[in-house]
Amino acid sequence: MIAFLREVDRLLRGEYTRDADLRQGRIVIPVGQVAGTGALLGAFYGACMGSFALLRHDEIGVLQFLLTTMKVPLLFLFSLLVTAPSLYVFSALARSRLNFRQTMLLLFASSGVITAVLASLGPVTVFFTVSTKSYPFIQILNLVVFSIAGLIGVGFLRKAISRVFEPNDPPPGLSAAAVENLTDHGARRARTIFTAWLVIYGVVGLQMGWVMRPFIGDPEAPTVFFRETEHHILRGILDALKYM
Amino acid sequence: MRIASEIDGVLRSEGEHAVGVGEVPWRRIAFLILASGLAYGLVMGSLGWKLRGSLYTGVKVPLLLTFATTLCLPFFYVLNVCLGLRADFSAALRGIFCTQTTLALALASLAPVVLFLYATRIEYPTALLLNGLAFGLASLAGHVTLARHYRPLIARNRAHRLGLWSWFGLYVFVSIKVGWILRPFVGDPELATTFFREGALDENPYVVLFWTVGGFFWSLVQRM
Repeated sequence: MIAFLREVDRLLRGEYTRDADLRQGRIVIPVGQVAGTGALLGAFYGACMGSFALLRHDEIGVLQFLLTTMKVPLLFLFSLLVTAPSLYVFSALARSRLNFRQTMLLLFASSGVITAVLASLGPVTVFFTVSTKSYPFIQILNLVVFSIAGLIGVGFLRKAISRVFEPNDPPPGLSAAAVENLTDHGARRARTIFTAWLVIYGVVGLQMGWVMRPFIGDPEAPTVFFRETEHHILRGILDALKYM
Repeated sequence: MRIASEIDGVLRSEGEHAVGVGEVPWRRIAFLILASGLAYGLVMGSLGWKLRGSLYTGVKVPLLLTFATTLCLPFFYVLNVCLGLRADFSAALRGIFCTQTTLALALASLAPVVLFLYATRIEYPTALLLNGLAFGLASLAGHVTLARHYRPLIARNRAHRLGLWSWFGLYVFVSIKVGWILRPFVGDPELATTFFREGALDENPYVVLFWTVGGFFWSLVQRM
């Protein structure tokens, strides 16, 4: 347990994504450990989310609880697999220092950060789950929690991406203004790449969550692994607000 | 005398409760919060001289002060690390704990005032307002301690401001729900004394707020 928490701590502190390593195009991430850590943290939050079904349903609630515990790590894995190629292609076009494998490792690390933030908010989610019967409220709460975790996770990724585009030691003979221009150009490239990819990741992540539902389990609906796909997530959010 | 010097240290942010790094004396802080919360709670719940109400609220006030803080701590830690503030976490945590302790001590210091006003047979709505004011005043006192601990941290790294506001937002969000569940605190003397109000876990203050605010704006729109 202590070793696991130390691993989480190392990931959050950025020990696997040091600035100096990123500037050299080096990603030193033990992928098995980080992926395993992310999966466990995601499963923990999935258990917190699924506790609503455990408390509100009968025996079927146990099934929903177990399904949600599995689904949250899978949500991040699938979103990552779908969006990694686009991040790599856009980055490579802009001459980033990372190859495809390194880009995947960086995404694993940022997913790990997202699941760590989710897990830290797990106790709050469980508290509200135990103390409210309103299914739409719990839907909105979990959406807000995922948004907070997502913001922090992409902040981590944004910082790492910007290092990857920073110039190394500038060629000799360049003036200070030219060096500054090089740095600014790198930063602009990083921002453009990242913003474009972020839009893709956001859309994929939201819709992936919609497709993989239910996560919480509507007490009025039967428990299924996947609900029939209809409409999109924005419609779902509006419905939750309407029925609060 | 030792307790007196502990209290003095917290209020003045001196000694082991001084601003800065160092091991957080959390056991002593926990003791001060629980004892002060109990003292104020016993008085708060005594309206109408109901012993059971007094005991119930004596338990609830420390719970209110500590439960929300405990729930929000994991997120506070993760956020601080993500913001690159790990080295200052001990100092930040000390600031949070000392803030809660100051709030509890301020409440306990107002207990004699509340007791006196209860003795003058004020009515239930006035008692509610009085205790609301006491909590408001105690919160302001807590903010003085918080500002004292966080000022040097923010001066060192502005990211602490984001960490602090995020913590505060989450803490308020959770505390409101905790307070809602733990009602009643003052206890209407005309009603039977219960630990929880009936349906405490069924109602949600945010759903009530959503429909109240929504209803207000809807009525405005209809009048236009």
